[in-house]
Amino acid sequence: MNIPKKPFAAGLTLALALSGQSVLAHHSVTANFDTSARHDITGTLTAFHLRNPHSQFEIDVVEADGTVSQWLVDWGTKNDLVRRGVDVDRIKVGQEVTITLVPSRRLEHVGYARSLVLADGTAIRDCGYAAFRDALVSGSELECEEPGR
Amino acid sequence: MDRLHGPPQLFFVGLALWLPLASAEPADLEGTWLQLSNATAPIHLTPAGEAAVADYVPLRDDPDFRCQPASLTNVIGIPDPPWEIRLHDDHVEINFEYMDVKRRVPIDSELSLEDAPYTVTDHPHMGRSVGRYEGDVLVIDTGDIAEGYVTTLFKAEGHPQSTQMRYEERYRADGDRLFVEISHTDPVYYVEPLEMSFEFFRVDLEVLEFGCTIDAANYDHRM
Repeated sequence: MNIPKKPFAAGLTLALALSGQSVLAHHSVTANFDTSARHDITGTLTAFHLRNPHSQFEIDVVEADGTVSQWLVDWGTKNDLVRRGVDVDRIKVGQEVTITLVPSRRLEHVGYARSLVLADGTAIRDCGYAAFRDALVSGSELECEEPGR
Repeated sequence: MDRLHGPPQLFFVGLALWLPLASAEPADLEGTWLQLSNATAPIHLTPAGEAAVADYVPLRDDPDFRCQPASLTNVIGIPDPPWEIRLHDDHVEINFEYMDVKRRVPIDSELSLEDAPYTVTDHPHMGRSVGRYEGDVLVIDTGDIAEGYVTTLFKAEGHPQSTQMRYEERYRADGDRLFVEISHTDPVYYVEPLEMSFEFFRVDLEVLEFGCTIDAANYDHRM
């Protein structure tokens, strides 16, 4: 990264060195969800809300004992998903879907989606802000990290 | 060196006058920007500040969960959405996608902060602001801010601001890079100013309507 070596930028460079922190830290996701855990659910998509500041899936999941659990799964901001070219039009209510999610820290049957696989086996993924930003800076194609990371 | 021995003071006075004029072109600020990096200098809290940080509970206290932008610093600091600067003769438009914060800052070196307008009309809790140019640097001073949180992001998550907090924002463009430094002075919660820095890069993206919906913002509201 070429940060111009001018007096105005010197403070930024120094502060980066002093803080040693991650560039990105989105507050609401880490506050609500255990990002160190992973959980897969498969069920019928009963609603898909594409909106800000978070999109949501509602999914009916048939449990081993035959009962149905209603899951609420958060996803990215509508504007970001659309801007990053995520093919949200392929997501249809009534489909069977498998979602890999990070679970809520407090609420049962609530999570945040990491990836989504449709009934035909194709995946829909949001590469995320960092990959989008890096692609813009370098003028390259947007590429996702490996699933599950 | 001999050249300076005549009237050295005049040389430096002339240099001091020339330098700001030579770079006094803020036009590069105009454009749409996306965040590249951010940084927070070491923070020095007063005892009241330390108590406020310890008491912060994100899901209870973060105004974003109520579709309420916490502060100007928070809106500038959230990484994902683009935002734009539009320059006018007597004011600057700063339009953020996040939470649809639209700011109109008067450029008037004679206007006192007490007489300055609330520049985000939908959110007067974000304070009164007035701007000026120092060479190619846009400087915005802000005061009359409501008690709350200066940021819910990064290293300073849940750090407070009192009604005495003042912001000084400094914007300088260098080609397709924009550097923003924000100094927050608040004697109630901070021993020294809270200093944050951001680097942005110029993008060809549209600033979209955000339209925050409370159902999407707050999990407890929906459960």
